[in-house]
Amino acid sequence: MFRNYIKIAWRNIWKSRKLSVINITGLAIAIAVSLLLCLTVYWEKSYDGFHKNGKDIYQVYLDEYQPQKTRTRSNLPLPTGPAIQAEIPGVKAMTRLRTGGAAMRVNDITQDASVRFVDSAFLQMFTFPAINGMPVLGLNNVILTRKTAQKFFKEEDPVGKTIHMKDGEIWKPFTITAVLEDVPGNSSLRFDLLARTEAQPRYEQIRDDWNSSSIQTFVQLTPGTAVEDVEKRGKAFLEKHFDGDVKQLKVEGAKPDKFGGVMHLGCIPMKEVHFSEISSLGKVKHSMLYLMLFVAGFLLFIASINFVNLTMAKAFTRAREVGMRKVLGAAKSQLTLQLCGEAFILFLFALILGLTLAYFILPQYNAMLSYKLNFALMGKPEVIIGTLLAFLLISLLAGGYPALLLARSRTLQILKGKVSTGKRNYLRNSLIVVQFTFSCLLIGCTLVAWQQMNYLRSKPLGYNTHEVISIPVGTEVNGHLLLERMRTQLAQQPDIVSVSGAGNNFGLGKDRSSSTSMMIFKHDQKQMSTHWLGIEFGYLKTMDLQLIAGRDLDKTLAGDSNAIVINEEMARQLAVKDIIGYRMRFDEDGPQYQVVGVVRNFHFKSLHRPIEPVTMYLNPQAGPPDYLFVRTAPGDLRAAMQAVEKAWKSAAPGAPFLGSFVDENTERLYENDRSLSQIFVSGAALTIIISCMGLFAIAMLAIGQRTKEIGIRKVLGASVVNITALISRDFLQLVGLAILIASPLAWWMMHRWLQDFAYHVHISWWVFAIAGLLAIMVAACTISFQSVRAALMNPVKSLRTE
Amino acid sequence: MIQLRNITKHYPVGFGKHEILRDVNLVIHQGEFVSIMGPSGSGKSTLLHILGLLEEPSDGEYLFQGELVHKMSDKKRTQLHRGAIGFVFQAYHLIDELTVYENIETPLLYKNMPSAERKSRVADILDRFNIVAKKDLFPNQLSGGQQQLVGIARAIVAQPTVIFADEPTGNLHSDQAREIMELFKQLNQKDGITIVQVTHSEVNAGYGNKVIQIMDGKVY
Repeated sequence: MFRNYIKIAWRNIWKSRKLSVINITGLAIAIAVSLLLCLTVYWEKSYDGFHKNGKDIYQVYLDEYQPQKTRTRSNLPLPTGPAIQAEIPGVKAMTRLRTGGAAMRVNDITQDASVRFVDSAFLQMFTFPAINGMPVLGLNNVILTRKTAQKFFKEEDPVGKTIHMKDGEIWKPFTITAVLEDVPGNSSLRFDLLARTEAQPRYEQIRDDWNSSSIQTFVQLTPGTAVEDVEKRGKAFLEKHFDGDVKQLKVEGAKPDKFGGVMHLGCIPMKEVHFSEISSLGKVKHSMLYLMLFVAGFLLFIASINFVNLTMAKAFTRAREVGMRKVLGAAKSQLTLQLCGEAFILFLFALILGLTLAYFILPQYNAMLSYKLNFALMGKPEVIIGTLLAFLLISLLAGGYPALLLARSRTLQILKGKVSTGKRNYLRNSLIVVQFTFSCLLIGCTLVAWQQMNYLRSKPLGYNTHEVISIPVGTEVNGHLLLERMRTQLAQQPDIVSVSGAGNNFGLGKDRSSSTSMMIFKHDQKQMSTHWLGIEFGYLKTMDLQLIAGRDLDKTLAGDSNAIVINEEMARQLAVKDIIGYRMRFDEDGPQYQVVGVVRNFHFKSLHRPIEPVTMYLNPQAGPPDYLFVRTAPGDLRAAMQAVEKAWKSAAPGAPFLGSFVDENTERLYENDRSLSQIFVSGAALTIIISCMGLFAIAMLAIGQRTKEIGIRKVLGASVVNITALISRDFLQLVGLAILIASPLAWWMMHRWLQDFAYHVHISWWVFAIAGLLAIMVAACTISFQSVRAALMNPVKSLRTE
Repeated sequence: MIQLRNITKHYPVGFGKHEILRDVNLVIHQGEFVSIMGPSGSGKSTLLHILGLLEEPSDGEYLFQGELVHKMSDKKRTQLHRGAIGFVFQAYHLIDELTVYENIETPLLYKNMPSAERKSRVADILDRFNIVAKKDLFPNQLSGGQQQLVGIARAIVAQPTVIFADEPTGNLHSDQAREIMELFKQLNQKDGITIVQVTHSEVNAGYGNKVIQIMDGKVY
């Protein structure tokens, strides 16, 4: 029986080769892409799942309910962790985590390594198994990962050996106690080397400082402890240790939360840290994953629509066979099974082809979304089971529905050649409309996203982006020293305009790091905040910032060590009459600063955010700049870059040169948006390709059914144009309807998306006109392939075929 | 074997109804060869479809082998189609995707017959109809007469007690028609299969032993 089914299925697939190829290709593309997307989601979801105590581990964060908004931060003061463990019951262990990079030296090998400064409980809380030595972290111990050990010690056994870490200008010795297995790719905690919290630079100054927040804190609760309880006890804890902040918040009129506090101690479950917007370890937004899942499901849906539509259209020719089988005594279930089996075989082909396709496009996919997915993930049992389940479900839905419909239709009508789907084709038409609605939607979204990306790229940011090179200073040489050396080196170069430095970069440099430092101060009884940027002399000139009042910081004036330059927004918020010369303190016992200049607003952060107040002060001797900026003369930018690199090589021998033009850096800020719009573009392209494949096949079948009509019309004198129009009209009407449905939807979606940007384009109606026109054109081309061929056919032939 | 009592069939047309069969009373005995004759549109095909359980009468009683048809379950009807009833159509209605052999085998598959028995049954039939050489051809590779031969082979392979034939020679020329009719006569006389055919031709009707004239939905 089954052999018979498979035989006839195969013959049917072979008989309608063209359709089968379209069906299988469309499905395979959809399967390949969805598979990659699902693997991505699976990978992201597997983050931090390997910790044995994972369900009891939480990262701690703080909420401050300011009257206008809630300020949330996961950077906590250093003493917070030990205090929590001592004062809040149910906390079994805690570790602080500070991210750092340091130069490490073993014998003559000096290399940068990424260090995590942690507490001794770190390795008891988190599961990073040791492959060598005892994972005990004493005050003067460090623990390496396998890769790091190989880097510094090659084949030697590193346990018990000494490694030197640079702290400021001194090299401190540490004893290696263990080597760990390399950190799994799906871990939020990444490191080359672990050292004790106490070993971090400036530890003694900040160990009891409740005002400086710089460290991430994790706690492990005793099994059975409710997080709610810990958070509830957080109120008293915060009122004790952050009494100043709590009082200030109350004065300002903060609204208390459900626990009654104006500050809140929150806990992020370890499995959520990767997706957290609060934790600085959070990398991925849940919404991105949902979008991926949606796109995956959606592509499969579009391809399945093709399948259903083609099967239904073919039912016309299959009807006689089905009827005859019924007369011969086939039960409904047998027929359904047979037709389902055919669908199943087709899907199986598609699955195999899809898997192969996925395997081959994986490298490109990884490159596009900067992922490191491995096809070996396919070997995981849950992935295999998931794939099979999805496969069965789709085959059952997309194959089962037409099968059931065909098997249920009345026997006799079928033998007379009529199928109950009739001529109206409501189902088919609505499915086509759905497909093209999505196509138009995605085209519209793509166009708007493209406009916005263009806008971001071309909007003047208020400073020189294309002629300025920014160089991260790194850890090897002191920033002040480096700046002086670079100035001397580049002084004679004709194509260098000026050299300066600052505490923060513009955009993301090649070191891919960016920081925000804020100063919170009182002014006129109000709490205000400003960005706090340390600069060097010549910064305004180097960055080409426009002064609108006052002057730049001047090297020759001794008093300028306490002078500040502010931006327009800061001046507006201060609302002081004579801003130039205004003296103010940011800290009650801190130095008094004098405003000497106001610069025009400039976008020092991404265009997602509105311009906020910024205060620029002169870097003190103890706070060297982290970034150098070199402004080059217009002209040969590449030569200038080479000159700068040469100067760097002699100013900081051995240190890597990570210089890049500022406009490259600012573009990096929008990588997320760019990958989102890439998803849009690819989604749109795939959707329209798959939809058109379906339309192509449907047009082919529809014309096949109307061969006789077309022949008769031609004999009666219809022209090729008449016939083409006759056939195309039906389908183009459907596309038109799709455009009408899609346009407002696309407008609404993109409107929402643009709200994420403080600066964005306005959506104009012609975007949707273009999107619609594009969809119509593509559809018309697809159909005309078939309709022109039908119209050109010799009527004698087409009449005879009936 | 077959007994119709006051069978009526009508379709709704607009607000009224279109009557096709009116008060048909009919008895067909085991082993008879019956021809249903009448002009186009007189309802003879509908009558055959009702007899073959493909369509349900609007009114009246139909007893097949002594059982009331309208009280039968779907399952029972499928059973009858598998075993007791064979069909032959004017347009042959062979399954294009299957070879001659497979077409003949199909009813046996639905009867869940073991493979060995199936093979011998199909082989017997092929042999008897002299189409062994054609068993691996597809229907579109055969002439009309040959296709109808396969159609009949398929109808009798499950050894039915009755064959319903809807103008079995309608698409064939007279030589082929005569062969087919001879075959029916032989099946009727030798194998004792009851045959009910719808036909236009007096000649074909002559092969049978009973003629039912139908006109405007009434049997005379």
